[in-house]
Amino acid sequence: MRKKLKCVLLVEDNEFTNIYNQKLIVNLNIAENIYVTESAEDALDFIGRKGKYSSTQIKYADPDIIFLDINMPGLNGWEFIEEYKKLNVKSNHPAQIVMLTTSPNPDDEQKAKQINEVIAFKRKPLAQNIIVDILKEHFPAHL
Amino acid sequence: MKKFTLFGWFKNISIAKKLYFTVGIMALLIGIELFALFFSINTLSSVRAYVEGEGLWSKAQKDAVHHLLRYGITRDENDYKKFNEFIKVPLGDSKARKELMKPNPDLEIVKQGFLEGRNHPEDIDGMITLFSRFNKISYINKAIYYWGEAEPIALKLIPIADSLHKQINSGAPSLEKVNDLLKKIDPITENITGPEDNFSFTLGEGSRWLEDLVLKLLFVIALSVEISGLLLAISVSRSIQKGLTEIINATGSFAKGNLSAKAKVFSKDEIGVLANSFNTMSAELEKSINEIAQAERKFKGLLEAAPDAIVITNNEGLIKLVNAQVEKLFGYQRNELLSNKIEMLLPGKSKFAGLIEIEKNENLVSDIQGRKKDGSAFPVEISFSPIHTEEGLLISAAIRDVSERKHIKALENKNKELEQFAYIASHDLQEPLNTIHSFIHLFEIENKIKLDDEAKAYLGYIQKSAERMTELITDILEYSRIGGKSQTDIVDCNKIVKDVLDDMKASIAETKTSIEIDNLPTIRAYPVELRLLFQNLISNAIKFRKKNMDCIIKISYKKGNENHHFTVQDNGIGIDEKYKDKIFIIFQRLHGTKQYEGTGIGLAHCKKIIELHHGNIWLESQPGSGSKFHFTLPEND
Repeated sequence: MRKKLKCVLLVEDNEFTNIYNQKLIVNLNIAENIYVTESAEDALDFIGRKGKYSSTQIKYADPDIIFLDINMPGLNGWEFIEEYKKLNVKSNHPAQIVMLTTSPNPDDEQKAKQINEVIAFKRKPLAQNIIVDILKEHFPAHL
Repeated sequence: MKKFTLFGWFKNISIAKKLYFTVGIMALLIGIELFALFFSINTLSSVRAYVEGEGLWSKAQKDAVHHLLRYGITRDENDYKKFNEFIKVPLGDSKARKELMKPNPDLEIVKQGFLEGRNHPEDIDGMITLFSRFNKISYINKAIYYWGEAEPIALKLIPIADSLHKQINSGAPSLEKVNDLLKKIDPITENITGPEDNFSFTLGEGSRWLEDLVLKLLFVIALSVEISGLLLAISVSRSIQKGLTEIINATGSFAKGNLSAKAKVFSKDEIGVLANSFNTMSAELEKSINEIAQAERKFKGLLEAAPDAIVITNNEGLIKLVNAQVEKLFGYQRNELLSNKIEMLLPGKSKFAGLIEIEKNENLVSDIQGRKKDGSAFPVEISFSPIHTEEGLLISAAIRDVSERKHIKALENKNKELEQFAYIASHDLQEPLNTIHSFIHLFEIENKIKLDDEAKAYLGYIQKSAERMTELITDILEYSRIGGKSQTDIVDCNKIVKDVLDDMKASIAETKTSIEIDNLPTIRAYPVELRLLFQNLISNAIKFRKKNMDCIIKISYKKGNENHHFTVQDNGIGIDEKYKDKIFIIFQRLHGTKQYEGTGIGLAHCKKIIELHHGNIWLESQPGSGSKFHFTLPEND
């Protein structure tokens, strides 16, 4: 029995995209928990256990992978990364970020390569084989 | 060698020397006159001394006769003694005369003689001089002759007196003998009167002659003093005046604007030096005035050649100078503007000084309205510069009509907005498309078994359409992004083409395409865009190849005049001449999508990339005989 990822976090403002992405991951059966946040701020609250995630009843796991949209109302993907770094998540469990974009801009791709936390820069829509490739490269134990 | 003339010399000596010379000549002449006067007076005085001497001589002779006669009667020894006393006078004179007649007279003896002749001691020197110097003069000569004639007659008294003295002292004097002796005396007296008179007469005549001569001499000398003085004065003053008049005329002429006016130089004296200095000065002035005039012409030329309308005003805002561009821009004639207020051209601005702070170099003012003669207003931009002149501060204003620029600026803004719009629109259009894709995909996976063939076909159509729309939107996005952020760099075109061909390796092999490439240059360009350009042209050439023959592509390069000229030639289907412009417009397609794939954006991209480089792109083609795309990129370092 292969090991499942503890937690996958989706950060995306489009609800249909979230439904689709969630479905893909569920179908692949690679994660114990899939959390959906509809804005960067919401996602930061989740990671920092703040706001509606401050309850002590439920124990949220730290995300192993974050699928992050770039263009969002409020904080965008880049600003999310800046804020995420400030949270100083325990170094033994830093999230691996997959950036997703609708319109791939070469400048953006270059920018993403400069950030350690970002492991992939992919064009939407997400597909099963894309996820599989990422797991192969970064989480081989979980396949 | 130059001949020396007194006139020439006198002309060229300094004025001071001329004056000294003149005064010197006068002093010399006056000296000569004084000497002549002194000499004449001396001579006349000597003549007078002789006349006096003759008087004394005559009186002494008469007294001697008187005492001798008396001695004969009284026989008194005292009378005899007296006779001897008186007769000494003619004897002394005789002694002097005889001595003077000698070739080398002993002057002591002469003086002794004249003293005995009872002449005044102070006259004696003059008498000697007159005698020895002028004895050749007829009057003197004659007088001496008469003197010599009278003298022996008078001296005949001495032997008579001696005989009489002997007779009387003989102890028994004979009366008869005494009377005989006394009778001899009278004829002597009578004889002597003639020469005596002649002597006086001759001397008198001589002295009159001399007087006359001296007067004439003095007159001549005085006249020559006056004439030469007058001539010298006239000569000096005329030469000064002549030179000065010449200089005054030249300066007057120069002042009236004849810059080449020169003063003639007549001499080398101060006036000549002054004339030369004036000439040097006027030559220098002429030169610098000409230079100034030339500079002014140059300035006016520059002013007229300037692309901007230039208005020069004084500090009060009065127009001093305008160029032709001003007439053209504002529709006024030059003379309608000069000396008017700048307000005429820039309504509401009475002078420039208020608009700007000239001294602080804040010298560009925009957002100002200009007004033409016909009353129409237009936006202008003005750059000012102060000109410090002798007339005070002048302000030069270069006025530029910026309506065109404003228009272009507005268009540019519109263009930017459109590009931005295209980018955002295409991005936002992608999102729903992505969702459609995603769910068709999911739907297919999850309902594969339930769907019949027809339903699957419909899904396929939806899928294809969505994909095409994605392609179109991606192309718009790329088109709007060309040149957006990138910068030029030095790029090796050989490497760029090689990279492109590497990427297209598969399709090149598949279509059996052969490619010839010239040696390409290294140029300054936008690397990403240039790569896209070659990629589009090459892939176009492959895409529109002829089905029945292998594709051949030739990439050539030629160094043009200040640009780089590239061509990409193929042996494909070619394009009709009438489409040569249309093909560069975005989404213009000449063929159906079934025949040739693509969105029709490739050449629009190429055109935009070329425009980004400020180059040109055009097509040379015949249907059926291949296409040749030309493009040029300007040469910039």
